[in-house]
Amino acid sequence: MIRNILKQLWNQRRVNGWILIELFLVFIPLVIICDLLITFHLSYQQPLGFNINNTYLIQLYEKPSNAIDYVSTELSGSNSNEDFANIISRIRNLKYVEEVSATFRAYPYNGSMDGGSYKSYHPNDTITAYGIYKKVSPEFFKVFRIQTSNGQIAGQAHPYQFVISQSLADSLKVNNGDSITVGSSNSYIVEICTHTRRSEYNQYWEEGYEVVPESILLKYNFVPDICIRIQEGLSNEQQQKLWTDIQKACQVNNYSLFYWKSFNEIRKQFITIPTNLNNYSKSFLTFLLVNVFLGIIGTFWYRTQQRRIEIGIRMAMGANKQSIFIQLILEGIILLSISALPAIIVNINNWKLELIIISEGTIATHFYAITATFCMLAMTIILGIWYPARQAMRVNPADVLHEE
Amino acid sequence: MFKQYFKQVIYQLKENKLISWISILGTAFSITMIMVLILILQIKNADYRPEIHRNRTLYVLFRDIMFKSNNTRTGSNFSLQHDLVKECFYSLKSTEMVTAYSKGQEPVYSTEYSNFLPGQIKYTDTTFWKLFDFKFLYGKPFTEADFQSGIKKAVITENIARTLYHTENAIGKTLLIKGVAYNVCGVTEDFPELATHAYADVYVPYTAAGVNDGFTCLLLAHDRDDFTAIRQEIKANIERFNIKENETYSHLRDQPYTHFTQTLFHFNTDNTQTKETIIMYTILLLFFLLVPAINLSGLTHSHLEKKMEEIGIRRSFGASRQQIISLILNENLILTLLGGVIGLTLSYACLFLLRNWLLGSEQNISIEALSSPKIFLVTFFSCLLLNLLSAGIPAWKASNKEIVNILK
Repeated sequence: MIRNILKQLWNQRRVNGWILIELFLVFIPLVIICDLLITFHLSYQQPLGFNINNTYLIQLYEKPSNAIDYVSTELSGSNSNEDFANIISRIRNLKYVEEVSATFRAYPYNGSMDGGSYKSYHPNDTITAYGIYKKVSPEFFKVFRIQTSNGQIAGQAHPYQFVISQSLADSLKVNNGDSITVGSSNSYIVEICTHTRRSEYNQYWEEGYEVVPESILLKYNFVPDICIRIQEGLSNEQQQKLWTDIQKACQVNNYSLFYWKSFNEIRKQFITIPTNLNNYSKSFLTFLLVNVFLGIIGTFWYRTQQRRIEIGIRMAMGANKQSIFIQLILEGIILLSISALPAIIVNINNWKLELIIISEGTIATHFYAITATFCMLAMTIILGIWYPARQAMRVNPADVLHEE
Repeated sequence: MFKQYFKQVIYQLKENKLISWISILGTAFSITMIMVLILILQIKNADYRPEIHRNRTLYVLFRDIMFKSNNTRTGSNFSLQHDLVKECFYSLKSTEMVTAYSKGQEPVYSTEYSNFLPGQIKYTDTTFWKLFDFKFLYGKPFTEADFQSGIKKAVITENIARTLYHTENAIGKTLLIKGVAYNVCGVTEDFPELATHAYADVYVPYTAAGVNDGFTCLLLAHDRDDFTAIRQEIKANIERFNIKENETYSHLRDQPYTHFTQTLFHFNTDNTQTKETIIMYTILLLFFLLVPAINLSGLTHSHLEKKMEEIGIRRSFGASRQQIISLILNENLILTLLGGVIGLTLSYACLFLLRNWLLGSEQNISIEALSSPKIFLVTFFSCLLLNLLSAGIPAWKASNKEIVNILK
C-alpha cells in the first residue's frame, strides 16, 4: 500500500508540494519551541529546596526623625531595635502564626543578593568557591522549610553555624560537621541542606546562609524584612482578622505596617519574564498547529471530493471502508515524514551552529523535541484528515461509478 | 462589477460551507496574530497622552562606573546623580528641553485616611509637566518658583485623591509622605500604568524631598535628525565631567536610548539586543503571513480547478488574462477582507482578555492608543498582502491555461 501511495503522491506532486513546503516550514520552529518547553518543564519538576505556601512578607514603615509625630527614644523609653524585637515577638504570639523570621534580602524570589567567597580547609589544599551569601536567624529555615538531606529543618543545631546548599558543599568538598569560612569571618561548622535554586526556571545554585541568633541579628542597623508562615487552610474571615491583628502588633512607637505581600505574588512578579516566554511559545505553537490543521482539512476535503471515482473503484475491487480510511491517514503521515527529514537536518545544523537558540537544552531534550514535534504534527494531521476520510468512507461505489 | 463579485462570493460561501469557513478562519487567525503583535508595539511605542513626544525623546537611564586605571567596571547600572545630570544634561543646547526625575515607593497617607498607601512617588522638576501632556482636573502643577525654593507641593492622581480624601477636589489638603507634610496643588486624570515614565501616584519637586540620586533623564529633541548632534554634545559633556574625577569615570555605554530601545532594557542585562529583537519580530511577522498564505494558496488552487470551466467560458468570450487574474484576486479579496475584520475584532478581544501577560498590566488600555488610523491601514495592507500571496500564483497559473484545454 505504501508504494502505491508514494506513486500517487508523486503523480500529484504539484498539489502535494504546497503541503510539503508548509510542513517543512512549520516543523523547524516547532522543534525549537518544543525544546524550550521541554527544558522549562524539566526544570519546573525539580524540587526547589524551599516551600512558600502560606508564607508572607511584611514590610514595616519607620517614621523618620523629622516626621511630625515622631516619638523620640527619651519619650518612649526604647530604641528602634528594641521596638522591632517587640514587634517580632508580638507577631509570633498571634494565633494562626506558625513561624516568624527577620531577614535581610534573604527571602526567596529576591532580585538583589550578596555574594561571598567561601573557603574550605583540607590537609592538602584550601578550596575557594563563590556563592550567594545570606545572613539569617534559625527561624528563617522554619518559615521556608529548608531541610537537610535527612528531612530535618536546617539551621537549628548550633546557635552560630553555616548552612550551605548541596551544590556549594560539592564544590567545597565538605561534609556535615566540617568547618568553613566566608570572607574574613570566623570558622564555623557546616550543615548541608538539600539543593536550592532561585526559581523554577533556574538551575541549582551555590548558596550559603550564615546563621546568627535572632536577638543578635535584630541589633544590626537596618530594618529587616519580616517573613511569616501562617496556618494552612484559614478561612477568609480568619485571614482578615489575622491581618488586622498583625497591623495592631506592628504599631509600636515609630513603627507601623507599611504593606504585606504573599510570596505567591512575589514569585509571580519574579518569574514574569520566563513565564511570558513560556506563554508566547505556547501561543505560537498553537498558531502553527491550528494552521496545519486548517490546511490539511481543506486540502484533504478537496482531495476526497476529486477522488471519489478512484475510491469507488477501490471499493468495487474489494477494499473495505476501513482501508479507505487508513489509506488517507497514511497519505498524510507519509507527507509529514517526507518533509520531516530535511527539517530535522536543518534543526540539527541549527543546534550545531547555534543560530537560533532560545533555550539551554541538552542532546536529550533536542531528541525529545524532535519526537514530540513529529507526534504533535502527526496527531494534528490525523485530526484534520479524519472528517474528510469519514466522508470518503461513506462513498457508495455504485452511485459514483454510475456518475462516471 | 463588484456587485457581481459579491454575489458570486456569497453563493460560494453557501455552497462550500466548510472550505469557505476554513479560508475565512485561516485569514482571521493570521490577521489576529499580526495585529496583536502590532498593537502591543503600538501601545509600547506610539505617542499618546500623556507621553505625546515618544518619537523624538531620548532616554538616559543609568551609568557604569569604570576604573580610570584599567578601564574595567567597578559595577554597573548605577543611577545618575544630580551633579552629573546638572552638568551634562541640563546644560545641553541642541535639545528642546531636558527633564530629570527620580522615583521611589513610600507610604503616603493623610489625616483623613488611617492606613498607608504604598504610593509610587516621582520626584520631578518643572520641565516634566511641559514634556508630558497631563490633564489636570483641578489645580495646576508646581511652578518653577516652588521648585527652586524647594516648597513642599504635591500633584496627585484622581485615584489617590478619592482614596485619601474621599473627593477629587483635593486642592489645599495635606499629604503626608514618610511623615513629611506636602500641600496638594493639583489633581490629574488617571491614565494607564503603561506610560511608565509619566506614571506615578504622587509627584513632588525633587528639591522639596532632598533627592540627589536615582535620576532618569529624558531629552526632547526638536526633530529626530538632531539625535546625532545631541549624542555628540552629551559625549563631550561627559568627557568634561569625567576630568574632575580621580580614580573612576562615568560611562554611558550606548545611551541615550531611543524610545524603542529603552523598552528593551532590563537592569540585569548588558546590552539591549535591539537588532536581535527587530529580527525576531520580523521573522514572527513573516511566519504569521507565510504559513496561512501557503494554506490558503493550496485551498485556492483546488478551488480554482473547479472553476476552470467558468474561466474557460469567460476567456472564450473575450476576457483577457489580466481580467481573469483580477477577477480571481478580487473575489478572493472579499473573503480576505471578511477574515480581516473578524481577525481585527479577535485581536482587540485577545488584547483585552489577555492583557495581564501580553502587556504586564491589569489596568485598562487607553482607547486612544488602539484606534489610530494607522492600525486600520496596517490591517488592510496585511489583508491585501495575504490575498496576493495566497491567490496570486494560483490565479496566474489558471489564467495561463489554454482555452481549448479547459473547455475540453
